Amino acid sequence: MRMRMMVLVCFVLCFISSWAIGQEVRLGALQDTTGATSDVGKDEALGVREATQYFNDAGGINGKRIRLFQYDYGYRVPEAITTYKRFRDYDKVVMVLGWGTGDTEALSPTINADKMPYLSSSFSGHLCDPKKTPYNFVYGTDYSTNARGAIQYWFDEVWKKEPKWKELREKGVKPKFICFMDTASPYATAPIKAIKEQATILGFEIGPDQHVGLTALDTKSQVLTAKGFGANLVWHGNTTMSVSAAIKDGHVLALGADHIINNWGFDENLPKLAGPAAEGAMGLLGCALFIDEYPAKNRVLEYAKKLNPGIPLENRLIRTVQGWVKVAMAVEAMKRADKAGKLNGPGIKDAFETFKDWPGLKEYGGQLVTLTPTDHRYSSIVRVGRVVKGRPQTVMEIDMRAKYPDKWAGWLGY
Amino acid sequence: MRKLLLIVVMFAFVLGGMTACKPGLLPTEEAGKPKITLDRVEIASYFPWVDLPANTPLGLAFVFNVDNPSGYNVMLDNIKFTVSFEAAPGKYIEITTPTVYDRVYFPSKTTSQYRVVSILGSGTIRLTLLVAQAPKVQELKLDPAALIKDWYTKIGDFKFKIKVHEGMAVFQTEKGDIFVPFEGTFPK
Repeated sequence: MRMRMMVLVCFVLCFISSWAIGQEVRLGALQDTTGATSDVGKDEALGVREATQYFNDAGGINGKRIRLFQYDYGYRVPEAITTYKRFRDYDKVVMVLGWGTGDTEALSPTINADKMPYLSSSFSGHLCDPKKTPYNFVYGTDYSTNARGAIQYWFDEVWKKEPKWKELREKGVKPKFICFMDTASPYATAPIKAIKEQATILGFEIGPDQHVGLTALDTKSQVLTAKGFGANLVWHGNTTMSVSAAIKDGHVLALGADHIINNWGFDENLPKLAGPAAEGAMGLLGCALFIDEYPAKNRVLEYAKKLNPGIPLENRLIRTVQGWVKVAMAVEAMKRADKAGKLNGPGIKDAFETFKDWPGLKEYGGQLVTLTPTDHRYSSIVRVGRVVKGRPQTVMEIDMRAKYPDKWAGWLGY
Repeated sequence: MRKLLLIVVMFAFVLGGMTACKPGLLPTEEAGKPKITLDRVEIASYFPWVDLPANTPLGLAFVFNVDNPSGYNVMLDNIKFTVSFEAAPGKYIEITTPTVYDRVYFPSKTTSQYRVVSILGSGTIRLTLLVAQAPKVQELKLDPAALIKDWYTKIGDFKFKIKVHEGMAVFQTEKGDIFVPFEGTFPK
């Protein structure tokens, strides 16, 4: 009798363990590796794939393997929508790693109706108010907070301190500010209202917006307009390729203004593409650059070599690290949801909202993450970088909540 | 004597049986790892050229030989590779990165063929050349629109080379995951 019982117990244990091993968690990822933002999208896609493999090797989601479905949608909103339907209806994913602002905002009503957690590479401030978009999450400081921080940094640390602007400063001249961005791109236009409001708070004079396409190679007419206005500072809202074209044209045409750049336009490629024209350019950083030193660097390098041995490491960018940040944040939420016995849309959303000064992203140079049921802004810390001697590097972190405590709540969803 | 003979015969049977049942190379051993080679590229679908910015589709099929020398069945979990077209002699430009997640089993000690179809569009290729591949296009002093038209015109006869690189196939086996890098060029 005792023997029989032992055999039965062994059989049940074997059955349970093989069932657990066989379980998998399905994760969808929309990527742009061929479209208008592929200059930054391809590298991020590599990071997502490599990070997923690492987390699987490290035990997955509490023993359950992550099965990643990663598809290129070429930055075409209709293709993002059809791919999402595949994720939802056939791949049966528990959450989606999204990409651009246009597609994330277009999909937002659907994913919220479907209760599908959606962690996007668009850090649009519009996605951070859970009253409007409860299932949208971002893995970086939102564009609007970042843009406010960038212009604040320039005003406090450059305009007020650097000899270049001493004469104008002492004359009491208002700094002149102008925005370069693809006016048809939801990504590029997302933080414009916020940055102009911040420019007004700081007492700037604002010039006419200049349309620079995401695929622009020649921006001379826009640069000449900025020069005619007498711009001291230009905001670049596009991705690295067109930003480098504008900075080079600014250099050639002796614009004389400083440059501040949104995070998808500022990386290791900027000085390579713009050359000496990029020197001194300032930009926003969501995490460590690939070339930086950070605690998880060995892991990132190991998996880059393991999964993509054909891609030289010198070609890799901060975007790879951003891919790791994205997956690390998703994995943490899925683990918490699984532990709570709710590895589904509402469970993952609730798990994200338990993040309180979560330090997991510090390993990748990210911020402490706090998310609540009423505020999905990832952090109030703005990390500013600058190209110094041909190399982008972090120069300062600004806490915008600490700097503007009375305004911070009102900036939600901006 | 007869007893001894019987024992020898039985031993031989057991040994023979054990040898016959030996599964052979492990898929995780270097010599037992699956190998992937590009057999050929085919035109899967072709449409008459329409000048840009119109988007002319082009379907390409990549046929791979998947060799499984091990004594175990292996399951392909996912496969991805980058496709580059020759833009100037010996100079390639990346066009797309197909990724497939269909699970397919490859029996032990077999070579099978596996086909990945990728649908391209001239408009998408143009964006790639203007953004991610812009530095290479500028370095080679090429006109993206003229280059794409040239590719579309010549691809039927494969008058330029198509390179498959950054290839990575992930196989799952009972012995663990196997990562198989691969690359190839067509025509050879």
